[in-house]
Amino acid sequence: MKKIFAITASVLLFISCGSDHHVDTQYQLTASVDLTTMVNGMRGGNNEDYYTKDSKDPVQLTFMVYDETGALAYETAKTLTNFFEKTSFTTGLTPGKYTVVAWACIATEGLKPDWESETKESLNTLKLDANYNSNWSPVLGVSKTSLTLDKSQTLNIEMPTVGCFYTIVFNYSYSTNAKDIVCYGNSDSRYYAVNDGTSNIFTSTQYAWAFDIDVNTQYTGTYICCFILPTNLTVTWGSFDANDAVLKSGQFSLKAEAGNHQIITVNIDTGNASVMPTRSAGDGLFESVGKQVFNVGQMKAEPAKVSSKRLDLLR
Amino acid sequence: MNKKRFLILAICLSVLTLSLYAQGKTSESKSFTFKFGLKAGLNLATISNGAEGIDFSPSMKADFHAGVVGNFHFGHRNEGSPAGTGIFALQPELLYSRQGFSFDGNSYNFDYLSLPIMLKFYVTKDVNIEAGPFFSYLLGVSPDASVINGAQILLSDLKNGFDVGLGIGAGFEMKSGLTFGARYSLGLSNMADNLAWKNSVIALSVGWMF
Repeated sequence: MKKIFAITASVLLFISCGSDHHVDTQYQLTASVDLTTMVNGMRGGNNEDYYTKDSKDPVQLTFMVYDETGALAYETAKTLTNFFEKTSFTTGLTPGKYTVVAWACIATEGLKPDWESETKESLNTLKLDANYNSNWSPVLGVSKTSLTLDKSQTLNIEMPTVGCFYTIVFNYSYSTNAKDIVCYGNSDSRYYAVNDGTSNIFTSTQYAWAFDIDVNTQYTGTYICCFILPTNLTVTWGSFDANDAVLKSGQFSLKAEAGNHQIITVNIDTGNASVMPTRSAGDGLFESVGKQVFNVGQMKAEPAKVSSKRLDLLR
Repeated sequence: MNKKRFLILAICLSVLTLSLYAQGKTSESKSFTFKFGLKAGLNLATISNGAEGIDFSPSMKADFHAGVVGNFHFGHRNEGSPAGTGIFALQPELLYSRQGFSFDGNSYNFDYLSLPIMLKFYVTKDVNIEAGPFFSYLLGVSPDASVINGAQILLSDLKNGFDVGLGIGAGFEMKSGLTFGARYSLGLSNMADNLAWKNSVIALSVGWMF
């Protein structure tokens, strides 16, 4: 009996054996990031690519990993030469489900980056705040990818933009009497909520942003480039003579959608304005412009530099 | 396997062994001889990798084993043969066994204290084939951690683990006491609940029975 008991118990225990040890294992996640997709279709006043491999706009790329509960598991950032520099991130993570968030914006040396992450400890509360001291085309790209990490793997990120890049081209004749052009918009970006991809927009009954541009008749026109999160935007413009009298003014509306970049052409002498999506380069749109248009590089939304008198005249 | 389960198993097998010993001592028709010996030899060790998230093919590495042997040889081969010449024997062993695997030029070492309990079938009085379970306790691991194909594994977490498996082999015992053996041992339990690695060892040994 003892023998039978011992043999039976031994067999049962033997076949039920397994290890209860648990080994700390981390799998490698490598993410390769391509930012060129973010700036595709963003065009300047001559319908040329606004950002190129020769651009000198430093880019801040931030890489964040959130675990299954939405808690921040890993974060790092890099500064790239421009949007055409490719890069990658590698980190070790325990097996599980993750959300990988990568976002990019311009970070001019000596200034704060165009966007900053706030309340980033949780994916549910992560938002990217627009920095109003930034340059006047604060482009933003955000990529959010869910994955299950059950082995080491590579993730290829082609980053989309989450807003609309719009170029306003002001054309005028050599004999125009206009000395200044003022334009302002009623809405601007406030923040982008990463988890649900929604935009928060700042709206003002007066103006959310404004430009005051000198008219230089050595050129046939001038243009400004801006960026805004998805919204319906109304832009008011006006031309002024040397005595600050309004020569011509007008308004146009823009339905800003992510990735649907726009070019608005305004003739300040006739008052005509047209809004159209950006087109492929070389389609002849700007052949009639003649001499090279002059790009304006003023800081965005600096009311002190925009004549309040002129703004009041346009309202 | 946890310590409690391992202990219960060891007790059951001890009861079995002692009961066989007691039967042998009390019954003239089932007499046996007991011999004590030493053995040592070469281990050709590797693991089978069933871990889904860690895709790699481990290679064999050479190492060693050494320890003590107890042989309970039962019965009489023929009528008139002396006791302990029958066709069956039970051979528990206690061995220090260095196992592990090799990969990408690196050696991964698992140092076990192993308790095989082999049932031997004597084809002739010198030649036998054997089979039986083994129970091993992992004394040490090196390196403590490693990256294998992108997976960072804290190998030191395996320490103090248990392995259970089956061995099968053959042996040759000379009248003088010199013994030779070859055995293949396969672990049946994963090394960790989240790491499907099983030990696989070919052992070639030389020994002496006193």
